[in-house]
Amino acid sequence: MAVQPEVEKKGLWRSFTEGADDIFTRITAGISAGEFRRMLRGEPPGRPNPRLKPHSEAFLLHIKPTYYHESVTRFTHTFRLGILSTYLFLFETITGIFLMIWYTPSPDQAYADMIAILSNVPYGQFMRDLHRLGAEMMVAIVTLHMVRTYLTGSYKPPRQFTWFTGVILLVVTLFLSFSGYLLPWDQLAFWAVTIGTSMAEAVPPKIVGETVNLLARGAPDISANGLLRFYLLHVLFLPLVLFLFFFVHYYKVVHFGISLPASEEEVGQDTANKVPADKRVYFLPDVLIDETAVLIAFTTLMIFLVTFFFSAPLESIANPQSTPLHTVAPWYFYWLQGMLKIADKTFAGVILPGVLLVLLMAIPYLDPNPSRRVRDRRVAIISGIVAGVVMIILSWMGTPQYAAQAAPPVEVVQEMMPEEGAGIVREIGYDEIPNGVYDTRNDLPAMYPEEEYPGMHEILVEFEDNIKYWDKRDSDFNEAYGVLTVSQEQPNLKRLDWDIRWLDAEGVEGSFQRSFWLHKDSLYWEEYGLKDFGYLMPTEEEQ
Amino acid sequence: MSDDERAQRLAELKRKMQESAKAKKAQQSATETVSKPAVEKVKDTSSAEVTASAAPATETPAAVVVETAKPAAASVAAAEPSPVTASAFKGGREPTPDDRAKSQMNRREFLTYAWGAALGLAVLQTAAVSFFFMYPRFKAGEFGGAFFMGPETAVPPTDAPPQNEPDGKFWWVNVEEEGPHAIYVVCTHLGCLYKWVDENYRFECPCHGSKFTREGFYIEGPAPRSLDQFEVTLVDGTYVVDTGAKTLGSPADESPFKGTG
Amino acid sequence: MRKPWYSIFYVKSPIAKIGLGILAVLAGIVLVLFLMATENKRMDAQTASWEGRSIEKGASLFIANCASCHGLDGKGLPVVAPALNSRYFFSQRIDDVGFTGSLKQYVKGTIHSGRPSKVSTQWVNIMPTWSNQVGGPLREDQVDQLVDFVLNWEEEAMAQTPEEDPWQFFQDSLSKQLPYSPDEPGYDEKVAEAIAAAEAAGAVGYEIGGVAAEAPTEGEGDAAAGPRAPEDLFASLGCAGCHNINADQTDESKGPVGPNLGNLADHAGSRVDGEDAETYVHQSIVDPGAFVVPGYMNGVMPQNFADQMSEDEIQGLVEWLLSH
Repeated sequence: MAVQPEVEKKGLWRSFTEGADDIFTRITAGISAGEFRRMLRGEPPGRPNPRLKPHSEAFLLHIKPTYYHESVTRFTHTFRLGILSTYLFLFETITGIFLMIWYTPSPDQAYADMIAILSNVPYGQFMRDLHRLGAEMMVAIVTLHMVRTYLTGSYKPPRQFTWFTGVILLVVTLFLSFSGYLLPWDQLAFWAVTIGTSMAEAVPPKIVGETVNLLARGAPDISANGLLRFYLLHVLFLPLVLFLFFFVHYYKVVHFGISLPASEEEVGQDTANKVPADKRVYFLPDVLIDETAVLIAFTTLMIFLVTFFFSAPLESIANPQSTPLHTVAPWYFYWLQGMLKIADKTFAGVILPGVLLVLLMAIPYLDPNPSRRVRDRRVAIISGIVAGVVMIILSWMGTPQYAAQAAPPVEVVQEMMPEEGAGIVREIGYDEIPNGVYDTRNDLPAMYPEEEYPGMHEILVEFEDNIKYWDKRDSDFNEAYGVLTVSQEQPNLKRLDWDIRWLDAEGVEGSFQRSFWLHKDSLYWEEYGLKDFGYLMPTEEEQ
Repeated sequence: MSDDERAQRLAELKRKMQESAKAKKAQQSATETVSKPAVEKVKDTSSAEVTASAAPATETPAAVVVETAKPAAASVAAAEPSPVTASAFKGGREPTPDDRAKSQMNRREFLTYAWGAALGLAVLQTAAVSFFFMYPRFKAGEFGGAFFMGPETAVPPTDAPPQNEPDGKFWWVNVEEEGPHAIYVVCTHLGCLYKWVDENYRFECPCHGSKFTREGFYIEGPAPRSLDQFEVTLVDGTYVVDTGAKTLGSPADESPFKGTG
Repeated sequence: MRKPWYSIFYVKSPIAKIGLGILAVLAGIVLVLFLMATENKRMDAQTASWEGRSIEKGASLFIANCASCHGLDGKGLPVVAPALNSRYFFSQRIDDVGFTGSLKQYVKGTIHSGRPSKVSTQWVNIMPTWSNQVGGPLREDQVDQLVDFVLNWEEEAMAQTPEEDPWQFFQDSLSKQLPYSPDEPGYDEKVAEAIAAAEAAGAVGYEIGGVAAEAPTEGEGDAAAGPRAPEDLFASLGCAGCHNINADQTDESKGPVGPNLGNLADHAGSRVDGEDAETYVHQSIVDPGAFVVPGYMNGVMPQNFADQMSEDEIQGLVEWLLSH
């Protein structure tokens, strides 16, 4: 064989090392082991630069530019929001595939699957929390990415189309997040999506709206068909659309380069291909190290948040017969819900968002200002800030705080023990609530001092404060008092009867009663906030 | 770092650059593989890079000057393939002590390896997490999990026909002196479900005619071994069948009832 | 050019980035290790939590749908429905009826499909079907929640002594078949009471302790027998399940479910302005939601007493309550 004389000539060791180096070079598409070590040591490349080869020959790197302008590698220039958006899409895909292993898109099975994921799958809750947090983060980061681009005027020529595809990506991201909302099949999911699809029904004329709604839900209301359709949208169709537009967007970014700071670049100038040699920061290894470090740090941040501060909510199973009080859309649709409270469904739910979307896409083509400098763009920046403030106000109006208040006694009980979700009483929990009758006409906080009854004290203070708050605010709610009766219904099960009485403006007495039960073992949690690690404490028997 | 020190450092770097340029020239004439113009070019640009890479220093504190000066020095070294790789992969001359010093792992390379090792650990951990996430867990009462067959006192008589337990996929048979057995319902031949035939007082497989005794022993037919059984344990006076733990039947040849049908 | 304040974020040093990368990876590994160590406890806590939530939901379903017959405390109401919070029910019942599955399956089957038969029963009402799969009002998951709630009485029920066991004896409770006549050895007053109450409520064709009650002949219904006695009504309609007639209602001692009625006459006239004691008590029976005593829940007391009693009987009951 021909190998043998080669080996004889060079010696065994040299043949081996040369072969190894050859394989290494093939894998890295052109970087030899020696060059690789020089890269790690931070030494500059040889000439011609062998580190450019992977960009032209390897698939994974051919979409990355070979070098960046030094100015755009500064953290505060981009905040790495673009690559984080991309990464989150990948992250959601991976965690999503994990969740799909234990999930069946059927109303009979979906909710039971969620409970099984939480209670009988190791890392099930971890994976679900990561996926939910990732989804919310993705919406936030894509939005911030757009805000950054707007404020630096980076949408101006030659990058108009990049902005255009970016807006499409934002819309797809919102739809992705929203379509995933239905899948747990709990009350939160069911009613938020019912509201969302009802807006589609408002598309004029009536026949179109109804058709759109039927197509989306697969039935007049959300049922098995709707769940399956949303599932397919969520796991197949929308990711495909996002994938496609992502590549268009990314190609444009690479083609025109990331915009330099306004002081270093004139509008219309092609700076991506004319970076002076002394301003170049090469992808290999400098930008690669930077991006890897950022992504890893971000992943760890997500794991940290999920471990201690974030838990995806899961309410009762979807009940098409009963809408819980204070049903809300996810926070990134609060603004839309806010508009729907003050304006007509067709106008605020369809026409206005549609017009806004078209305007947003058309910004680069409408903005006649040829400068990207802040001092030349006062109108654009101020109107951008005004739009942001309006969004925040509308979002606040979208929360139950605004114009969705029920009667005061209902609100008081909702505050203490909401129909769905946690609330202060459930968070404090069974163990700290002694049986008894608690009448707010007595000085309860003094009767149950904090040292002796830490949890109950907090509940009673809150109860009193809530009643006083509404007493002051509502003229039909006077001389109000509440009685909370806690009794033992069963072993490990307490019954809490809330009874609120008041006089209305004409002095007629009114009353409101509501009962809830609380089990010793049931855990309730808020979406955001320090997690309860009480289960790690040894139980009484173990002690 | 004081100005003096910095000046001293720069002078040192300059000296090193000149030295290595000389060495490079010597090497260039010795090796044919390196093309002449390329090395010329490196020589020209190497000094340019010192100034170029020092340029951002206007924005960053003094430490960066050193930071950027280092690669500049290294750039010259890089033009000459470092001895480890050169001698290992390309062969050629013996490495000089000076070359050795340059090829030694610097802090950045070491840290990158450490990073790679940590990432490797993280990947292993992710693999473990994925494994635990996907590995199915069975609750009591579903096939693969435990089945509670009632108290010790409530087992069927030792002469009763086998009792079918469809959820656990086993026949519940009480055997004299041995206690109850849980016999897996699948024939050891090709996976058919055999039946209990009361007239013949034995299990018979409808597919290829294998026969087994009430206790699961092979009698005749193409089956290679006696019937498989699940582990039965007595926990607090209650029989528990673990349908996750299957014991294969002994080979057909070893069956004491072979051919007795 | 002056550096902007945010230039501290212009990290150029690769060492710093690599260092950050290493720290982040290690921190991530530690966090996941922490999860790995606590995962089993977390899953156990979650499992218990979802069972607990199911019991909570079952409780509200029970109060809304079942308590009017089975009693708020699950101890049954004489002649109306059997006890569930009973030692006998938890320990012996399924053996006696010859049910081969578990108690959980028995309870689920009963709630799901009910006991839709009017033949051979001594109960006034029948157990309706509850699952919407067989024409009832509840979803399947709600049936499961109810099952979880009923079975949660086990601890309390198993602690009962035979005397405390509220189980009533009826035809198929074989283990508790007891002598019927006072002359027979082992005669139990409780059995006799149960039979008397059952007969008073017009239950027919049942069998207690092996003795069949004779079906009343034609015309022997309510009308022919005249108004029933208030004390019998109080027992047979299940009032005693929630209202204690022998205890006073005071601030210190309140009935847990419905107000005690021992001192009803003292405050019946002052509960609602413009209504005297008779009007108030009458209204409370006919339309319980008109006024609810503070501290109690509306909707617990059945709304259909007007259909179950004649006007004369209601008048009699009001009088008896106020004079008791």
